[in-house]
Amino acid sequence: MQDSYSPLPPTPMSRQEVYAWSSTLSSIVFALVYLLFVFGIPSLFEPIRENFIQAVVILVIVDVVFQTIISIQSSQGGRVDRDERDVRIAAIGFKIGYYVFMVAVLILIGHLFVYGFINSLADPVYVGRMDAMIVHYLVAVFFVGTTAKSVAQVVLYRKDA
Amino acid sequence: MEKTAIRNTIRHLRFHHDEMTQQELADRIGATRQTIYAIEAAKYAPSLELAFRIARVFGKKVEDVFQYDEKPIA
Repeated sequence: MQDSYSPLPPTPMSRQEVYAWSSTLSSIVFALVYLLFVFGIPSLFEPIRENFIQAVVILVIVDVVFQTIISIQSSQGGRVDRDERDVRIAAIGFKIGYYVFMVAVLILIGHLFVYGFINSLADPVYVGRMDAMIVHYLVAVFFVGTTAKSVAQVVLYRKDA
Repeated sequence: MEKTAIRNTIRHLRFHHDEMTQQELADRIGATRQTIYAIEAAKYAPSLELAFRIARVFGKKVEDVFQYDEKPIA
């Protein structure tokens, strides 16, 4: 039997999609904040330099409050807010995030190996300076993986909408 | 997600069951309205368990609700 009714109206976002959107935005914001903090603040941001840590703390608080409000609302509705489709989308998102993470780790290892080796030949002190940079690179890789995961979830949700 | 090869008559069945809404069907089978929408639009193929639950709501067999668009194997 073929469906001959009028086109289906679009649906509003599910709670899980709202989570995915907020996760994407917070990942990007945290990544930008972190990169600015580690690799230097451009002169444009110089006036807010003193309040930088405060801004980060406020961002974290706003994110936690936002996520908590969504959780409380979803538990009060009495309706299912997560089903097998959400689980499948989350799984695909994690898979894509994992691939991106692994590629980023491989690039990082290659970069560290090649540049670390070359620079240690010319400047033995360089090896000692590498540790801090490795931590920053790893954090950056973590953000890339997390962002890829949530962006993939948002794309999947939007494809169905 | 991509269009699936699983077609269905859920929309037709909802209409003939007192114009049941997507939300009502979702509540009865323990899913979200967005999932019902995606299934109806053939953008999501439900699990066997969910397919059985949907069919039971309408008092039908699974194959009366879902049809597989079989393509010839080359």
